[in-house]
Amino acid sequence: MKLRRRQTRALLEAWLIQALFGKSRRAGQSGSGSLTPAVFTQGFVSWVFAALAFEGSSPRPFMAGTLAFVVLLATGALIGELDDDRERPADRDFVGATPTLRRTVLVARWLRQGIVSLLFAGGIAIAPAILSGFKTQNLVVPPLFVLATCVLSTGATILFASATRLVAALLGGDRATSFSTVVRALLLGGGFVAMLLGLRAMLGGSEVFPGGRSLLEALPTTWFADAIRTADLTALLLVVAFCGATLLLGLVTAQLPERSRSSAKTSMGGLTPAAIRTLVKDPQRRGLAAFTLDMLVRERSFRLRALPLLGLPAAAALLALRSDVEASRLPTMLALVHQLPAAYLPFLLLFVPYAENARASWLVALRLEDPERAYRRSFEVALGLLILPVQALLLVVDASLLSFEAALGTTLGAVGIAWASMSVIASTVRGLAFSIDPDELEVPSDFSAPIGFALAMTVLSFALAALQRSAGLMGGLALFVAGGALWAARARST
Amino acid sequence: MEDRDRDSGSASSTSTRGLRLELRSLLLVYAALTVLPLLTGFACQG
Repeated sequence: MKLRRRQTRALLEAWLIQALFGKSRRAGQSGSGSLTPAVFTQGFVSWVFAALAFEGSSPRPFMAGTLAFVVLLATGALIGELDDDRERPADRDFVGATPTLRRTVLVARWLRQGIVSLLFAGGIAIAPAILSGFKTQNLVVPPLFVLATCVLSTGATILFASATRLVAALLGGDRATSFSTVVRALLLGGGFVAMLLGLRAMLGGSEVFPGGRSLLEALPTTWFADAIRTADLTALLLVVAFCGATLLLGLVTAQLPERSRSSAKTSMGGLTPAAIRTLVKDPQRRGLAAFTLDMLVRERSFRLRALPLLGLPAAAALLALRSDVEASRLPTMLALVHQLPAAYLPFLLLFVPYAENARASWLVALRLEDPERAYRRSFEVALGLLILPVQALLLVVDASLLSFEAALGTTLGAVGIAWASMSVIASTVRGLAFSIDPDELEVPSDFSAPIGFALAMTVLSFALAALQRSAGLMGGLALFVAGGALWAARARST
Repeated sequence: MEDRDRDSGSASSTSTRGLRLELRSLLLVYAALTVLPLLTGFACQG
């Protein structure tokens, strides 16, 4: 019994040090933890949010809204920064190799999760919890609010981990990593929209929120807020059911083994390799273009940084679309939305030098041709292909608001402009791509080139809208053909 | 062998000390985050 307690204590201590100091120690700093600044900044943000909604909202929407906001913040951090994927192999090798009982490890892991959740989620919930106490004139509310935040964010983390483990069991570990990255990006992009819409709903009534009152009442955060505020029996039952179901799901999925699958690709089939084969004749450049495309899609650190950047302008555009834009201004507005992905590419390319497998960069660096120039050329091809699914998605949004012909014209025109400007976009790639460890990230200081390009693209979007008005689908088609010819000619040239 | 034990012991106690310091600075942050909403609440509700 004493031995088990000592083992649990040792594991807990090691994991807490990993959680609190891991990030800063990997960056070569000693003595400074990453939790304190994170709690302070996010706690400050949650106070600002709660203070903005404090005046002018009644207790129920105030508590439900602020609880949802804090849980979203805490969950985003708990599944992202604090629970780092890189710690898992260390756990497997060190903990798995020691004569520690499985149950001891499980208890220690749950305790660690609980403590980190209490320190972080509890910390950032303090400000809205106290303001909820003021709102309801009840002293019991603040501690219960903090507890609810811890339980809900831990529950959401367990649900997320269970879903990831389920994907790993069914489709393999690499797919599970992709799944978790996409969910994190959606959480961030969706959370930004939900925050703005939620604030409006808290002040103006639940019908302003898409999905209305019924959707908001189906959220677990609303059940917890109701249970704390009024001790309503239905809400209490829902809270108990949520906790029970989450725990059960966590226990069941914890036993699932990861499906092993070979990471080596056996065939080079599919549309994208065919497109690269057609566009690029030189075998070396073709290989580099395929590698660049693969890295852009698969590199975890790039996706973690790039997806939110791409998600935020999309979220802003969707928000603008939800507000009442006059029908006459809609085509111009949508032309601008279509230009956003290309306009944001230079900002995303600032993160391109970073990759988790940066040490393999010598493979490209040893080429005879100038590797930086070779990378720029391969980015032209890869980004030209990547922009297609994004524009197809925008076409669906566009076609739901305008006629299909107008939407298609705008989409084709936007693709044409993006292809024509691809060499300018790719020229913003600085240094050797995928060659620096993400922990050594240096925040870029010079944004003049990306900002200038984004402004130019904004002006071009007005030109695209004007062309769409005067020449219709044919105008878009002409731009598509011209841009495509320019892009293909550059890809084929030696 | 003894040296190694001593080294690992001192490394462990340094880490534990770091953990304690971190928790202490967290308490300060919690205190700061408590004062802000108290001021807001009293200011808004008189």
